[in-house]
Amino acid sequence: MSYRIPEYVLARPVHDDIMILDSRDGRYLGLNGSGAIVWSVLAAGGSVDAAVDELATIFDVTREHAGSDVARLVEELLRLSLIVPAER
Amino acid sequence: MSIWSTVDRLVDQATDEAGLVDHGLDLWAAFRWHATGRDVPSDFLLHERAAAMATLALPSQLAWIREVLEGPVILLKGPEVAARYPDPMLRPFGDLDLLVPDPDDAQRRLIAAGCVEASEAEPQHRPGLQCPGWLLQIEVHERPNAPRWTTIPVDDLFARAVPSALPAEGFLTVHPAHHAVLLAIHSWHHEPLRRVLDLVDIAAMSEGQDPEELRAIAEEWGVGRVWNMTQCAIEAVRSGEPPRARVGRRLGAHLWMLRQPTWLEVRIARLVAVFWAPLSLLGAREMVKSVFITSPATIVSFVLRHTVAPHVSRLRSRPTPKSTGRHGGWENPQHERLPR
Repeated sequence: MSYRIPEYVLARPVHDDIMILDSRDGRYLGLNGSGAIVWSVLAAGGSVDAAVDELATIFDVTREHAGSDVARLVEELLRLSLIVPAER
Repeated sequence: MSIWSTVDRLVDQATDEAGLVDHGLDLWAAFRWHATGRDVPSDFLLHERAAAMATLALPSQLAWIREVLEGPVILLKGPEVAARYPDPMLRPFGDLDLLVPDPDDAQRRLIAAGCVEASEAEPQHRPGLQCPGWLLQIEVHERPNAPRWTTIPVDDLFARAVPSALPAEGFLTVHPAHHAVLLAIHSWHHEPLRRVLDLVDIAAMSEGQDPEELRAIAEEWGVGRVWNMTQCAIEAVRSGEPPRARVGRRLGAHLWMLRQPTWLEVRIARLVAVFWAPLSLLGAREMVKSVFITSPATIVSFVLRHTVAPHVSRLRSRPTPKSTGRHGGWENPQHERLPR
C-alpha cells in the first residue's frame, strides 16, 4: 500500500526530525527520527513495506516490531489527513 | 570575510549557551552543532522546531493577508531579513510587520476577518493582532519603528519599494539600502549595540549596496552617527578584533564576548548615545530619558538575571513564535523511537 502527501500538507526537516503543517487549519506536529524516516519513504512514493524495511535496517529491530510501529504511525497520519491513499 | 563565516566562528567559539540566546544566534548554533556532532541543548531544539513551523506557515499566512488587505503592503524586518540568510530557519522571527498607506483601514479589515487584538499599540503601529489559525502575530505600521527625532520619509519607502523576497505574491519590501538603515535604527531604538543578530541582519541587508548611498541615507534620516557606530561594530565583530578606541572596546564587549551587557554597560551605552543623536531638543530629551529612567520592574528583573539565576532566566525569557487557537501545541503521534 502506498500513500501520498496532500498539497495542503507542508513538511520540513529539522535535523533528524520532521515538522509537518496542515495549512488548511494550522495544525502541526513533529515526528522524531524514526517517524521522520517513515515519512520520508512515504513522501517519496514508497510503500508501507518499504518503510518497514527501512526502519528495520536502520534501527536493527525485527521486521515485526518495525511493522507494528509503522502501522501505528500510518494510522495516525491517516486520521489527521496528513497522508492519503495513493491513486492507482 | 563573509558575515556568515563570522557567525560560524562566533558560534564555534561560544562557551556560554545563554549568551547565544541573548544574541539571537541559538538557531544558527543548533544547525551548526548538529552538523559538527556537538550536543544541542534542548531549549535550542525547541526554538529550532518553532522556527521551522514559523517558516512553514509563513507563505499560507501571507496569502491569507493578501486576500484580506487591499493596496500596497510592505513587509518589514523579521521574515524579510530571514530570506537573506543561507536558510530562513536560521533567523528567528515571531511576528509580521506590515507597513501600509492606510493603517486604520488595514487594521479594520484584519479585525473584520477574525483577528483579535493581542498586544498594545505603539506610536508606530496599531495594536498587535492574533489571527485565527495563524501562527504569527501581525503589527500594522504607519511608520517604521524609530525615535521621533529621526526624519524617515515614509513616502520614499513606498516609492522605492521592491518586490518581497518571500514566497508570497503581491507583497513589497523596502529597498535593501533603506532596509539596512531601518534595521540599524530599529536596533538602536531598542538598545544601542543590542545584540549580534542585529549586526548580522544589517550586514546581510547591506550586502551589494553602495556604502556611500547607505551613509547618505543615514545622514538624510538624521542617524549618520548611529550608522557609523553600527558599521564600526560590524567590522569589529567581523574581524574578531575589538575596536582600538577604549570607549568602543568597552561598549561592545558583550558583542565580542557573546554575553549579555551589564547594567553599567547599558547605561554607559545610552549615555554615550546621547551624543550620537542629532542635537535637537527632542532627540536629546528622549535619549536622556532612556539613560536615567528605568521602571522598578526592569531593575528587579535585571538584578535577578545577574545574581539569582542568570542562565535559567535568560534561556526561559527567549521569545518564541506566539501561538494560539489551532496552532496551540505540538501533537505527537503514538510512536516511540525504535532502539538501535
